[in-house]
Amino acid sequence: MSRINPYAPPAYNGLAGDYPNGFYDVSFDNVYEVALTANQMLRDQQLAIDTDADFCWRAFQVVSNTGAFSIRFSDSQGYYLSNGMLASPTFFQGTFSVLWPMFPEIVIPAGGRIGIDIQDLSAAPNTVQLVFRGVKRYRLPG
Amino acid sequence: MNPMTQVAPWSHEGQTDYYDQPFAYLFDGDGLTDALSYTNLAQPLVSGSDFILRRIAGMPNIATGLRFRDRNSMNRQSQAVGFPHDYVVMPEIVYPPDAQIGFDLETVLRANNAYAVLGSVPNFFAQLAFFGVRRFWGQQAPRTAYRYHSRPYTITTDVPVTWAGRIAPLYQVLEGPRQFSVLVDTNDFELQVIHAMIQLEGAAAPIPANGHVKITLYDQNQQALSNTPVLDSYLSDCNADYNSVFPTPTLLYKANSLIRFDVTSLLIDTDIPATLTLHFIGAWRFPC
Repeated sequence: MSRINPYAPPAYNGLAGDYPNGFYDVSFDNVYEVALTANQMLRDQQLAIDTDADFCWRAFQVVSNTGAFSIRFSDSQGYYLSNGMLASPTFFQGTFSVLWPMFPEIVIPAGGRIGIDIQDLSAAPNTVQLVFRGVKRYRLPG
Repeated sequence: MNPMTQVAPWSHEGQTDYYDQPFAYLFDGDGLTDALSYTNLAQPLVSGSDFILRRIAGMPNIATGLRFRDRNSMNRQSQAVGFPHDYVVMPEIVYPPDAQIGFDLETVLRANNAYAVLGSVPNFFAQLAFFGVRRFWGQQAPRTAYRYHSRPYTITTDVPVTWAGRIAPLYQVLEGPRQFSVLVDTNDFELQVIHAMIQLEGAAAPIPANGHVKITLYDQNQQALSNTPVLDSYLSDCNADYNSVFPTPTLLYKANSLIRFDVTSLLIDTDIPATLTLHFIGAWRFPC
């Protein structure tokens, strides 16, 4: 027996996985790091996804950056998630980096990739660390 | 970083074959060395219950990066990475009894309150907190034994914190915790949230407690709800850095029981005497 705490976010009260029959989800964070030179634009960067399970991408967050940048994502089939670059202040509330939800989730197949275009906007060297939160979806035997 | 909205204010006491006790496992990194990175650290879990991990708090107080593992020692991050103050675990992770939460810390940097006394040792509060519930199979949670209706209520108490984190005059040896309690009289009380405010020596007004004390909270059976004292900001709801809501799930104190708590000071000599004000926010259960 448990009593739901009305003040708490749902996850504090407990969220079990919601996954299809025959599969099992475990939370996983993929980390992407890049060091940009001043005003450098990098196209078609790839964050490789592990080969042991599909990755259901559910949120994105800027972990750290030393200056402003802009970014655009694509999935493993080259589907771009925006028609232009998104400036990094989009992902902040004041100085706090906020979780940017991906809804509906994007399923990247095992061994696939998340495509990234990224450009420095700070006119100075810029080290950026991003995290892609979601779950690994394992296929159960049988 | 919390992407979720608040849920509607309702509660349930459905019959299940287990009891979930809100609980926090704290890893104290006070003995680590700044600027070093550590791999294969572990927080052991006690026997007698599963532990279901739902929230990780406090990485910025101990290191610049973290990677943790599940019951099967599988990494849950592709590499150590900076965590937000609060990290929600979705889906929740179940650890069996006697398991451990394994993790790596990248570039340790221990949060502390330092004295201006030569030769003193700072009051460290480099805590990594794993919040969730201990699940006791085959047990039932305490229930209110009468028909009731709930009315919101807050029990407040002032705690004089007259001692620093370490013993004067050298401030090298740690002070111990001190025990306090509040009587829950008349009716059952459902505790939902804790607010901790503190007024330091010479301050004009109280401020939200944030690195000032550690607290061990006990349930009505005098069972501690953490393995060691918990930093105020990880418990207190009125904190700018953390989205702390403890206890989750809520906790029932029956009539004539005690809300017991131990306070460990993290204050320095110039902060004392101080007054810690705790608000135990919840609801009375009035018979009807």
